[in-house]
Amino acid sequence: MILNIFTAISLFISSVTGVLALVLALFSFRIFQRSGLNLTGEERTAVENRSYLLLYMAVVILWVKLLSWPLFYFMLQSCIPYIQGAMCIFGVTRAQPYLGGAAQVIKPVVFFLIGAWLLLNMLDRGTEKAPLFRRKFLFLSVLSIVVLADSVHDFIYLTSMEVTSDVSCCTTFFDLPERTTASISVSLIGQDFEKYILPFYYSSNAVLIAFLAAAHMRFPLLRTSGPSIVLLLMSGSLLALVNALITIVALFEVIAPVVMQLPHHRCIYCMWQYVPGTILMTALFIAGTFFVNWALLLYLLGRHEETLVRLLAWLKNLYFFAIACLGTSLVMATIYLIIKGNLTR
Amino acid sequence: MKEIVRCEGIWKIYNEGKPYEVRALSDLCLTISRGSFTIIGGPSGSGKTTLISIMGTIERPSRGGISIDGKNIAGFSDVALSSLRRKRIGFVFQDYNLIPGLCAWENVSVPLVPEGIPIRERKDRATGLLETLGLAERAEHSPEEMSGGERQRVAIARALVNNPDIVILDEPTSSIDKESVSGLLDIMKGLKAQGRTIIVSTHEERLLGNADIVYELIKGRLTGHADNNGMHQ
Repeated sequence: MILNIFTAISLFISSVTGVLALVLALFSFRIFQRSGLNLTGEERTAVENRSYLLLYMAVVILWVKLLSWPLFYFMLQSCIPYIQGAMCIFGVTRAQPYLGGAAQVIKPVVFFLIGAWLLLNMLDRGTEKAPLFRRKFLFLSVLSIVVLADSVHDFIYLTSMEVTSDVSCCTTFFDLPERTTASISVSLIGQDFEKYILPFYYSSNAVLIAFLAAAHMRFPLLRTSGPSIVLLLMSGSLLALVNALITIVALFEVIAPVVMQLPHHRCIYCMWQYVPGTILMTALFIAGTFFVNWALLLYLLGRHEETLVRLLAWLKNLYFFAIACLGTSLVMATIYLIIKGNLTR
Repeated sequence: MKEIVRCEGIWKIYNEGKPYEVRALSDLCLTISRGSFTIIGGPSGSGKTTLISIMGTIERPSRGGISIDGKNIAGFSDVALSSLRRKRIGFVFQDYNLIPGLCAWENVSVPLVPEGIPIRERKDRATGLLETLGLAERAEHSPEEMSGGERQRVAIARALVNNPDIVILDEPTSSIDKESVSGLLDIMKGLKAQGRTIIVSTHEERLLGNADIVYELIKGRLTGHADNNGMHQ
């Protein structure tokens, strides 16, 4: 095991959140079960009184977990000197390829689900009759299991990482002609895909932002229920996912080499190292994509006669945040491309 | 006068279905008018405190409906009831329930904390109310350093600090002397003059004559009420 301040903090967080997530999963499911019964006023008060500590615990744990996603990357960064051959975060993840790869998938999923639950909880707390009480606790019990899995994964990953590991660097993965992003681009666009990536990147982001802006203006005119709003939100999510795929390809294939001024090196982990401002650019892009999908999930989980009017206002706000994040990320990317003088080259 | 509180067929049963079940209220119906001075009377154990706790949204009825300003609050969540109570209702407990470690103005300002009001404004509002109730010089004193009447006025100030339109007092005369009772009566008259609705549970004779309406409870049932037109069964 590699022991430094980041791994120690990560290990502590994973241990504490793991134990508490188990408690949360058990008790939130019990509250979900109990609240389904036909309760008297006294029993309902008892169930609600029991829920306060649990909700408080949930909010604290989930916020810690939200913040631990960036910490995870700081931790990986801090391990670079200990692992032979590692030049960036990617090299560190190769020390335990399966666990490292799983972390790249589970962390965003946990982040996304936690964000959705916190929004659902806030929506329910603003109502008079707490109509989402049961849904919120069922979701919490499922989410707690995912958080538990993430914590167990972190614990195993951290304790099994060896100082003597010898890994291949990111150049042997991202800079090969048969790299994933290039293979996909060649199969979709052709051999000269590189000159089309930036136009695709800008078009895709522009279409998504324009769609979100139009939806943002249209929300007050929409009926609060019915297929039109579901269709709108699902279209937004689909566009956001397509845009995410195009942006990821653009980041690896064009933006990272230009920003690093290393024309043949395509690792975004190295980009974050060389130009730390790109971390914010990437984070804003992720947040923007998540805001669009949070809107869909919040609508599907938070629909109720009592919440509909507020829900519509929230969806409008979520789309506004998505526009702000995606727009800022796009502007940042453009500035980096201009500063490095490669945009028109 | 327009009604502000309506209780419809309220039952309150503690430990329902168990051998030690207690029926505190049985099928109780009453209305309270806005701006009125209402007394809930009756002997000890008749359900007065339970009834005003339900009207004050501290407890939920086991059955039946309760409306405030025409809005049925029976299905409200605990969070929504707390919010309603904080904004609309001031409650003076029989034992005052002041927090021992805090001085008078801090006790008074406690309901302002969840409202997110800054400490400077909390102190200004709390000391202003204490001054109105004749406790300006006691603002920095803790409850242990005060007499029963002073503690009660601190509790009244706390009940009024959020400017509620309904003020509920539970047995306010039970632990104060006769002189303090007349002072309390003056405070209640002043509150009524401000247009607030006053609901008091008591069996103090001197308060009865000042009320607009008196409801009589015996063993959890409403046995009659008296208003300016006389006694009704």
